[in-house]
Amino acid sequence: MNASERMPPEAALSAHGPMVLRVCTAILGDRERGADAAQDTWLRYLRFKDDNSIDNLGGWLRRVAVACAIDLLRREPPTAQPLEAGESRPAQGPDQGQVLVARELADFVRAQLPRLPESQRIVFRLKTEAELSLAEIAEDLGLALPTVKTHFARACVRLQASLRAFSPEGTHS
Amino acid sequence: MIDHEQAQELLTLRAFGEMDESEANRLALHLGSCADCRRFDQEFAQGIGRLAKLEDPPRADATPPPSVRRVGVHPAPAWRRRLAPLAACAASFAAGICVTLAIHSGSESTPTPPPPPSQRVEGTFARESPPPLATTLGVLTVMARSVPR
Ligand SMILES: [Zn+2]
Repeated sequence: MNASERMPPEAALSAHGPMVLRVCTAILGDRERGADAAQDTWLRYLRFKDDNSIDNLGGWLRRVAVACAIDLLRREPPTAQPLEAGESRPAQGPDQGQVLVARELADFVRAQLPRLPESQRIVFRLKTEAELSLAEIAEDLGLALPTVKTHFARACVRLQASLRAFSPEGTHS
Repeated sequence: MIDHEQAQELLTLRAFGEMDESEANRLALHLGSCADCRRFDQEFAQGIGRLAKLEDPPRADATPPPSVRRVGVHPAPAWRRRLAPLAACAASFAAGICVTLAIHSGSESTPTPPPPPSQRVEGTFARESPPPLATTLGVLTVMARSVPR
């Protein structure tokens, strides 16, 4: 965003506000904390918005949102949420012969995510919840794309293994 | 030749549309002779891979870099939006931020000079920390008091 195309703050919020909130909430896994990190992002934007070196406001905001959310995540780590009976898992496990409905699958994944290493968890959430590409995630995290691919793939394999263990006879499939 | 572990990782990337052409070639070689990994592919497609199939329209702000050629079938998923509807939260949050921005815009007679490069946000792991929430709230309070009535 150079001086000639700088947009008013209200327009920046309108254009990028949903993305900032989506990214922060994905990383933190919680809407309230996501809103806190998004607020940090916009406050930082207010400090830097006249900086002529910002040539891609959306990308800049996305990187700052990721940074603010990870900072908050590390300052106040979420408490691990073991999978409690009757909480996130289907009442009796997947019904015999039935597939997990999408909601159950998502609940299952959400319950399992705290068990993943932080790097895998953040990449998985940014990909599946914030809908970023792995290339965008690599850029935002300052990591090489192959590294991000490995984090994401290993998260997927581990989650699939958990799902298999949860449904040992493959009744989810 | 890749091993089973690498092949299964590539299968997950393929399910989410994140595999490039060279990875696809290596995977094809392995799958041709590995029933175990073909079985994993089916299992994954009916398990975690289903998260990739909950399709929504493409994001308006999506900018896939041209250097990444995706070999896969699924656009970005959006199951999260089904699980945690953000619309109401986003609206109220945006309203609050709008107030902040409006307040700030009204005091632009004293523009803040650009920070030195060392203070700019370069990436997730090399940047200053954001202010703690207490500071943030304090800033907002000061801003609110400066609003001309
Ligand atoms: Zn194999």
